[in-house]
Amino acid sequence: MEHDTIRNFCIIAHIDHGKSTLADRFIQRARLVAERDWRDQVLDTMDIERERGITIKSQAVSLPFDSSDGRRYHLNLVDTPGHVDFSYEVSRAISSSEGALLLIDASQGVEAQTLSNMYLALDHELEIIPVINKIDLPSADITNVLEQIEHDLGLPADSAVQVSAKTGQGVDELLEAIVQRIPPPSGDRSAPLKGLIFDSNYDPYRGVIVHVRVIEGTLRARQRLRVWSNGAVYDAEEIGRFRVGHEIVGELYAGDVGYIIAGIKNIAEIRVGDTITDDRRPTDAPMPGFRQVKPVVFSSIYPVDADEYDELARAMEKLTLNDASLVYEKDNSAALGFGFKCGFLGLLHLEVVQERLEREWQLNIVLTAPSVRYRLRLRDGSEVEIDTPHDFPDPAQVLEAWEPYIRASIMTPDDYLGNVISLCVEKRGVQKSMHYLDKKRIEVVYEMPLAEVLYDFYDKLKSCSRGYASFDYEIGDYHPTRLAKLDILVNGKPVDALAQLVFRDNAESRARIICRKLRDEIPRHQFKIPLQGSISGTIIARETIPALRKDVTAKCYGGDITRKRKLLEKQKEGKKRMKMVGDVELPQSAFLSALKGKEE
Amino acid sequence: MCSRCYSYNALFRYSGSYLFTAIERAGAVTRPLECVAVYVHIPFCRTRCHYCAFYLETGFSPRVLRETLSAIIAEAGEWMRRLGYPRIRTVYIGGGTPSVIPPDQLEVFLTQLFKTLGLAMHEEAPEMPGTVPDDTRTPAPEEVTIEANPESVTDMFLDALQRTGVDRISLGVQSLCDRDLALLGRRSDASTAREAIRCLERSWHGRWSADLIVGTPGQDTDDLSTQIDELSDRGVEHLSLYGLTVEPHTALEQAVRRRSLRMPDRETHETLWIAARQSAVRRGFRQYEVSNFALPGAESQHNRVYWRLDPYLGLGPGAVSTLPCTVSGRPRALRLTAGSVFSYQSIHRGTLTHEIELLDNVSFLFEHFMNGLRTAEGVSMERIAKRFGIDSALLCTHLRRYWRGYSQRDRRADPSRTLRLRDGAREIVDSYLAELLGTLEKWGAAQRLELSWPAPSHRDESCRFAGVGAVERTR
Ligand SMILES: Nc1nc2c(ncn2[C@@H]2O[C@H](COP(=O)(O)OP(=O)(O)O)[C@@H](O)[C@H]2O)c(=O)[nH]1
Ligand code: SF4
Repeated sequence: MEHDTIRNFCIIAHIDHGKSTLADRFIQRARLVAERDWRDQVLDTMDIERERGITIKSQAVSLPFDSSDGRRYHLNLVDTPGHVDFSYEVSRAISSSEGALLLIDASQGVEAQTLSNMYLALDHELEIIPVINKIDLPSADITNVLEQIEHDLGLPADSAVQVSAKTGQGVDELLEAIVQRIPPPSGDRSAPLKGLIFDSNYDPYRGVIVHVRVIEGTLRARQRLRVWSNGAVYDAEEIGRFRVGHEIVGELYAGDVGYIIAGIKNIAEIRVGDTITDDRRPTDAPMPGFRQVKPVVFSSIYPVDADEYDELARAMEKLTLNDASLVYEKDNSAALGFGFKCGFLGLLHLEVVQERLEREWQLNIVLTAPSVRYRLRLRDGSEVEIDTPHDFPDPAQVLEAWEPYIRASIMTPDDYLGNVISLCVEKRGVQKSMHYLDKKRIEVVYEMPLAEVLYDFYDKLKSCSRGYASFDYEIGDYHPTRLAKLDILVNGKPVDALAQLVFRDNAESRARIICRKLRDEIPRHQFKIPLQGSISGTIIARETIPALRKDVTAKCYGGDITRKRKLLEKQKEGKKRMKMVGDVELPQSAFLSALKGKEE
Repeated sequence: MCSRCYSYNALFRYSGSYLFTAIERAGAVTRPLECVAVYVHIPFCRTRCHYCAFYLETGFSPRVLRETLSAIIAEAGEWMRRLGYPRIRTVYIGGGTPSVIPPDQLEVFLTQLFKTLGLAMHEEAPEMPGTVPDDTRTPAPEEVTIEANPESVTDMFLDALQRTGVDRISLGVQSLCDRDLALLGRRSDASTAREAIRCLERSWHGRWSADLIVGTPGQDTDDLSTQIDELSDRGVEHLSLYGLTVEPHTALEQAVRRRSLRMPDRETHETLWIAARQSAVRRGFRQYEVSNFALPGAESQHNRVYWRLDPYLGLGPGAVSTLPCTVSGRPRALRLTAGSVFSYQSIHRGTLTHEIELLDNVSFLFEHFMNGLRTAEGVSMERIAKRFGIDSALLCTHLRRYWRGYSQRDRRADPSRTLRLRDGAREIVDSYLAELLGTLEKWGAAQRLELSWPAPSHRDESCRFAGVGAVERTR
């Protein structure tokens, strides 16, 4: 294949701006997809992502396109995840492309995420084509978006292509623009092999399918391959290009995007951003920028019904087959029994995993309060990292503590700037910069503790800006902090699954909120139940659930009996899901609500 | 006001053969009974109270009323035939508001009804205080109650009742406070209730009971004790206290949703309830069931049938029956629930459906505890053991092991004979019941429960009225 007929590109877009729809349209144009296996959005494989409108696992597709210049081109779309938690993966997809479509919703305009991903693309010297989508909408404000493109993005407004991914309007022009404006890949086919792993997925029959962009050299079937970071060696069983399925080829050359199947069983050995090379004739330098994605958010997952532990174990194993960024280990709680401590890339990642466990695996689970990883220096001079309250040492031993910060970039209409700033200050943020994007909109950058974002930042940001502010972040450095372990006692007994690591100054208010929520969620018992929040044995918050004095519906005659029995049958089912802490029955909802920051 | 004439059509058909065909199709065969209690549902009220979610009609025409009543009589006749003309233990005419029927029409209806039920009201009824019906069948029922709302209690009405043989009135007082009555959407005010009570004092020879609602918005404990005192002073022998609940599709629910009314919170509700209970007890009433209070000897016989789960027959469009039957030759309990009982939303155009429920034996066993633990008499282990063909000692051991609520039992009762909750614990019986249900289900699955209900002989306990509240009339 002639390399000047290849174009590698990705689509950068804020959630809901229409990336999946546009990808569909491309595929349809290319008539790659037979009518019968047409699914709404071919690029997304997992239902749950479809529902949330995000693409978590990228998949690539190659579209043959007959340009007006009479030649046939192969347009390789490298699909990228679209959320802040996965920004590292976005950056790898960007490294695999020569160009990027910067998709902007004509009715929404530029968002924080669009901006930060565009900077990423610019860093990699990608050709950027601004694309205004949804021009069919009556609420489309194209003039305004054009102005934002000039002003916020610093791109010439007349370079923007206007499309409707929904109706297909402008898509041909866009494909032409891709051919005309994105440069073909370059790279020496005879050099030693250098391939960039930009994704991988797991196939139950074939093992791990590695997605690569060949940067230099040639990749051949049956070649002996080496993964740079860990030196693992594999024989390529099959290589090929992405179509809607896979198309087997004998060789992939510098500039190509394709896949490798090499009998790899464990997806954790294949890391996004890693370099793959020829074992016998390795390249001298790997692709820059490789780093292992590290989990930053930790939470333990328990089955509500202890009998479901094995099922949960199976589910976790299956999930990690496709999701190398999810890490977990066995865990055990006095209140909740056996479960798994898990590490996630962010809160969204956590929610996605939670939903998949609940929806695809039909599991009833309880999660502990998400925590970040703290660093502690102890009196004996040693340093430890902890990410669960359980590991918190005797406070007297702790000399110093640090917690991870993020660099948060928030874009908001100036009407809400005051609210946004006070929220950031409340969340211990330190302002780094602030500038007007246009007459009405402002970007502020704050450094703030990741732990604060885990708590209720998203919800509060949305409500204080009426949903207008958008938010993006990257993980930053560690900063000193004052850390405490907040214990929650129910009827005098600490409930390990409710303990949290908190910023000391927040402890009182956090404890009060939790106690209040527990009071509303725990059914009353035949005795009075004190609920307490405590730090190192000192009670800092207290609520009481009064004893039950009456729970019968006040009458029961001949006509009420069946109804009453059915009610009790329901109650009995409900009781199965209760967790016993001493003599107190805690419903699942108590754990869930106590861990949610939001106060309804 | 709800006046959906279409359900009247249904009413005319319900006494037809459809119900019996449906029972047969369910594989059940009803069998002759020695004795049974009868509930009659009169599905009419002038207007609907704001909290009421029962099936009933407002704005009915004289024709509809007439045809409904004759349908009920037809149904009674059909059932009597099928049940082998059992002796009627008690009759309860409820609603709706039976007292909306004009007195002369009511008298005709009741006379016909009682005749159909084989009751000879004024003849050889044993009127000797303290007597217990003997072995010979007696056509006289132990108790015939009718529900009445204050606005329809007149001398004429009472006379009509007395001529037919009704001997107990359940008066829907609900409250003696005008504000409450207005808020509940009742049709009369407190003075009407007082007038009705005066009328009872003047012309009524039987007993009477009053209903009171506990937990109305804004109610306080003094309101309740004042009302209970007043009723007690006026000679009421029996009180039914109801906790006000917000039922779906009621005016009350809407008001609460619109926030124009605030229901008392759970704790206030409990405080009110307990205060009301204490007031009643202070006035000499005994709480013989969670919501029923009686002076000694004035307990309702009819309600005890429900709580003991003796057979009862429901007549009328919103009534429920629990009757013995056989399925493939084996005895089972059959429950017939009119589709429209619980919500006036559920009546379907032109068809009145009954839910035909063949109770599995464990559920039925559980119901005995569910009801029995609400009562002061408790659950008789001997009776249960007999009914279900089990060893009562075994059941006791089992319950003792699993039922945490056992610790709340009344320690004066010998647990091998009676399971009873102590005073004050009956109010929280639901929290035990859910657990007891699980226990019984597990246990019952391993048992072979052989229902013999009611026992074959009419000497069976279920036809006897010994013990608390035996027929002891104080006139
Ligand atoms: N009217 C209109 N709606 C669109 C267009 N493109 C996408 N949408 C809708 O916008 C929503 C988000 O699109 P989707 O492709 O899932 O966005 P993604 O999150 O960026 O992948 C969906 O409801 C689409 O149907 C368009 O051009 N016009
Ligand atoms: S509460 Fe009683 S009187 Fe009021 S509408 Fe309902 S049935 Fe009729």
